Amino acid sequence: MKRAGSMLAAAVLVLVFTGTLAAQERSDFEVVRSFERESKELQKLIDSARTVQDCADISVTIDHMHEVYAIDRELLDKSLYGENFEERITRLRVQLRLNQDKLGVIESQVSRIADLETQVRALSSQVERLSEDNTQLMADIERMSANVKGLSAAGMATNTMIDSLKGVIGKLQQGLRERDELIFALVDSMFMQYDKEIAQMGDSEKRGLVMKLDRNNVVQGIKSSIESNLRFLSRTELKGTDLASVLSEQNKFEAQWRGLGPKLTLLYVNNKNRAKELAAVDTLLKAWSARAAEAYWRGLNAAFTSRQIAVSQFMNGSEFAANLTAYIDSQMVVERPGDENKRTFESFQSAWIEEVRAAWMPLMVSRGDLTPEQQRTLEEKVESWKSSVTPTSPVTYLFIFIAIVAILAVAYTQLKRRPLPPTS
Amino acid sequence: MKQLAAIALLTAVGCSTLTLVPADFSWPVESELTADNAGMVKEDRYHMAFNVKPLMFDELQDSVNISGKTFRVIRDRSGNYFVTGPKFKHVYVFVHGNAGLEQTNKIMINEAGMANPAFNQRIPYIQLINGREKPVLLTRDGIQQQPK
Repeated sequence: MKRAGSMLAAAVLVLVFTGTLAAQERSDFEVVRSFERESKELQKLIDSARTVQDCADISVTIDHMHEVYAIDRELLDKSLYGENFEERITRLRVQLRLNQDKLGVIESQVSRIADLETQVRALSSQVERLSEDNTQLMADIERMSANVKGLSAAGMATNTMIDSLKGVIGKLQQGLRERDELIFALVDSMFMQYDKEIAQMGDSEKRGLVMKLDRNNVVQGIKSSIESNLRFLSRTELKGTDLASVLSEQNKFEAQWRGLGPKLTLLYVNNKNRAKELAAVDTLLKAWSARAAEAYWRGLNAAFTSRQIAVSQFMNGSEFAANLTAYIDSQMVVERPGDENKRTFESFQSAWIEEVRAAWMPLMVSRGDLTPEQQRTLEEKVESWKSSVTPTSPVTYLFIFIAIVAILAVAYTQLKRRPLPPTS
Repeated sequence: MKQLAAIALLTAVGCSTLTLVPADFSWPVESELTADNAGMVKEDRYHMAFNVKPLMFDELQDSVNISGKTFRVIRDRSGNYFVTGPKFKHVYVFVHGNAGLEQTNKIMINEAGMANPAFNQRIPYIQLINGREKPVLLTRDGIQQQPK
């Protein structure tokens, strides 16, 4: 049974990846021969199918074959012996349906799983495509960074060059994020086909799921995702919000892995090589987390240092809150002309509003680096500094004056309307 | 005189051959045929068999080591058979003869020999492909379109 299962998976694999012949001039004979061979293999798969997942796999493979060979319909119509292209496909579908009936498999179950399997295959090819794109973008970044560095040293790097490099970095960051999302969506679609916890799965279901995971290189794909993110962090010098989003992505990935990792460990309990790979994923994830955290604190410090704001360096949330409070306190008591006070505050405010509050604070709170209480205290501190440096506007004085006049007018009117006490 | 004319007419009708046109003898795809120990190849779908020993000798000067050798065969719309095989420098053109195939042309394709030739039916031509080389279009008279 185990052997039959392996053969089934191997055959499906062959069917999925053949069919499309090389881009060079094709031999019609080869097209016909491939179609015949794949039809025969499908026929064997139908005969050996035992579970609803097997039937769904075959159903998707028939659909795939129909799609791939539709372009050669005319040739196949002429060349097949005794039937045409559509008749051959229909015959396979009918045979699968008969086998499903024999196995007592319900068609709606097959359709649901087949839809998920179609999704898996689509996601798998998207992951593959994105990986290629990301590799290309990474190479572009390396080349462009080297150019910019070389020209910067000679004082010749232009803003356009730096902007294009930033653009490519942004694209790669987006690509990596999409790939990470896709790989977990891919795994979800696989697990959903079984619709039960691993502990409740039978041996053949576990084997089927493992085959699907292996066929789609899931563990390797997850490893590649982390490696790409690590490479990205080491090859780029991100700043501000870009860094915040890298960390946010790392947190998300880690949370998803915490959900998936134990399931994979259970599935690969008897496979030493895969168990090693899973352990490697944990190690890589720790490296990514450390690298991202380092970049995160460096980036957050840079929000101030890049604007020459002398907040003492911090490496955790408490230090951040304490050093920032100390800085504001010191600025509020320092003796200097009013204009200079205002300029210092405005420089701080730009860092505070544009970077720290917009990008970093939500992340810090969600990571637990900063409590909501600490956040509120800091916000109040900044407001208090703001009030101390912002002189009251003449318009405010005008409003106050108008308000006083209005109150006096109302009081006077009231007094005038009150009847005079009778004179004795 | 009238009798003589009638006899001449009858004779003419009796001797004339019928030609059924149009006709299409084309095979939609080529066949890959493998020679047996006796040098015979057999095409099941079209129920034909022929001996390829003379062809092997003509092309490769070897009609001994023939068992298991493969040949590519296709028939064009007019009924000409095009035959070639791996290592062949030529494509041979045959027509049905008296209980055999009679060669009508031998088309030089590649002095070095073809690695993996194959035919496609591209009416009115036969297309010859060979791996990554540019395909050529053939008729019974020879190459109709040289690769650019």
